[in-house]
Formats: sequence, structure tokens, C-alpha cells
Amino acid sequence: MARRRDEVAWADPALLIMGSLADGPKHGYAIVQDTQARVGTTLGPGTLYAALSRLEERGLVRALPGDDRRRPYQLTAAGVEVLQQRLTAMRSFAARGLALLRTVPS
Amino acid sequence: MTAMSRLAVHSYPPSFRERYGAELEALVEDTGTSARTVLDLLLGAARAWLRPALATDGRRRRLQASVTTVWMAWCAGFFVVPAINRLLLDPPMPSVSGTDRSLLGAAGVLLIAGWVLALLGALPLAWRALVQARRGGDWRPLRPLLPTLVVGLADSALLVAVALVPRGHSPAHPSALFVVVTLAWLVCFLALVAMLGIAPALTVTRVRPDERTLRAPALLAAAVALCLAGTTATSLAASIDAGAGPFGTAVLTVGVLASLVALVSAMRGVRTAASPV
Repeated sequence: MARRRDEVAWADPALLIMGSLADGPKHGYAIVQDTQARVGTTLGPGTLYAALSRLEERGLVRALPGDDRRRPYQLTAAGVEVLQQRLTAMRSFAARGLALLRTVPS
Repeated sequence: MTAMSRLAVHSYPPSFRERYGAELEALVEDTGTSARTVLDLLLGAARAWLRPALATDGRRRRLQASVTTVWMAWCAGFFVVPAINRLLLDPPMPSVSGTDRSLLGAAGVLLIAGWVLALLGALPLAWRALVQARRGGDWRPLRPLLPTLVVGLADSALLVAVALVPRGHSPAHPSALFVVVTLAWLVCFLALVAMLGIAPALTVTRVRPDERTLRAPALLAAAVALCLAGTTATSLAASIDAGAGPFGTAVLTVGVLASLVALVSAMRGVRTAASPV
């Protein structure tokens, strides 16, 4: 499970993983640390690999050769496109939400 | 890694562990283990069983996953029929009607059909495993079957012992020896059923049969899944009508869960087998 002490959950583990891979390949532990540092969400190992296996099945990430048991993952071209579309949609949603909130009397 | 977390990692499907097992273990070692981690792993394992994601070598792994999952579900659920028969008919409960007997009869027919289909599906896989082992001289993939064979022989011997040992003065007062031998047989039987479910699945995973070999077993697995669902449904209907009690409820719960797992996995296998390459 993705743990965060918010009242409203806001990010799917797959999206968090893709976001973490946006700046380059990472193995599982690096993804967990990066996600924790950036958004304060801790991905459990079961949650991480459930999402990673789905992303790999859909061709959005690929596994790279790695040392011993820690294989880095990388976004594919299709993964970059999907992430871009998702983040653009989220940006529009966030902009609209913030604009609407400004009109609400405090 | 703690024993609980190691067990949780091992609860993932064999195909998942083959691909991600080492990475998952490394991550658990890096992040540390807690009760929450173990729960997260167990939930992940449940998801992997119900909705497997198979990236590399996807079609072959999907077919293999269907075949092994349906086999394990069958081994977990087929004993619903003898258990419910024993509860309702030996001795016959007053509440058992003619309809209940017909339902139990139908369950028995589906049980036999299921076993025939399962063994037919196992033949090409067993042949592939033997040929591969003989050609390569590597019999290690078949090793998981050895303990099953030993336990099977022990179970058969205990069954003969149950038949030969004096039962005592009356069914209500069985002899101590009869009780001990029967309990020993029951424990051995349960161990055999568990090993019968796990060992062939492990062997198939190690043998890694190709897609062509797996196609027919995957289609037969769908028929086995339907037989399992049928035996559970008919036994359930008879039990609801006649009242099978808490033990019957527990047995039927296992049957229902096994049927659901088998049907979901078989459906995915059929879809893969039927889809163009």
C-alpha cells in the first residue's frame, strides 16, 4: 500500500513510479526513496512490484540489466508519452481547482 | 529478512517469483521488514494470483500460470465432494432429500470428469518434462515430485492399514488403534493433497514448456475450472437444503474460493490461447 497521512489520496502507485523514473532509470529501492522524499508517500514492496509488473506488461517501463538482484527500470517512449499526458491533465485540473477556490469566500 | 516476510514473498505465484522474486527480496532487505510490510506483500501476492502481469515471454507465462493455478485450485477444492458426501450421507442425515442425493450424484460425476480432464491436460506436460530431463540429463526439475511420491505411497499404506485394523466393538466406540491409524491416514492424506497441488506446479515452472505444449492443457484447464465450479455449486446447493453445519460451511468456503481463482485464471488462459500470435 502507498502510505501518506492525507485525508484524500491523490496519486496512483503507477503514476508515482513513472514520475520517479522521469529523471532517469532507478531500481526498486531508489524509487521508494525518491517517492518518499518528493511526495511523502512510502510505497510498500508488494505495492511497488504490483505496479511495476503492470507497467512492464503494458510496455510503459522496461527493465535494464542490473548488478546482482537489483535491476533498474526505465521509462519507454510510450511511458514518457503517457506520463506527459497524465501530468498535463493533472496540471489543468490543478489550475482549474485553484482558480475556483479563489472565487470561494473564505 | 524475517521468516514471515520470506514466507510472504514465497506466497507469490511461481511465474511472478521467477521474474521478480530476487528483486522483491532485495527490496525487502533494503527497506526492512515490519508487520505492515508483510501485509503489503501478502496483498501483493493475492493481486498477483488474481490478476497476473506477465511482461517478458508473456503468452507462454500466461498459459503456464493458468495451467498451474487451475491445477492447484483443483487440488484445493476437489475434496469438497467427498467431504460433503461424508457429512450428509454417511450416515444419511434425515434432512437429506431425493433432490439432494441427485445433486451430490451430479457433483460426483463432475468430480470424475474433472480428474479425467486434469490428467489428460497433464499428459503432454509430463511427457515434455520427461523428454527434456532424459535429453539433457538434468532431472532436477522433477525433484519436487519425489516427496509427493513418497507421501503418496505412505498414504496408500495407511489406507490399507485403516481397512485391516480392527474397528472395535461398535462405530460409537472405535478401538484406539483404529483411531490412531485413521488420524495418521488423514494427516498423510492432507499432506498428499497439498503436495499434489504444489509439486507438479513447481515442476512445470522449472521445465518451462513452450507455448505450443501449453495450449491444449490451458484449454483443458478451463474445463477443469468449470468442473470445479460445478462440483462446488451442486455440493453447496445440497448442503444448504440439508444443512451441513459449520464443518460443511468451512469446506464449501474453500471450494468457492478455489472455484473463483480457477475460473478467473482459466479465463485468462483461454483468452491468450485463442488470441492470434
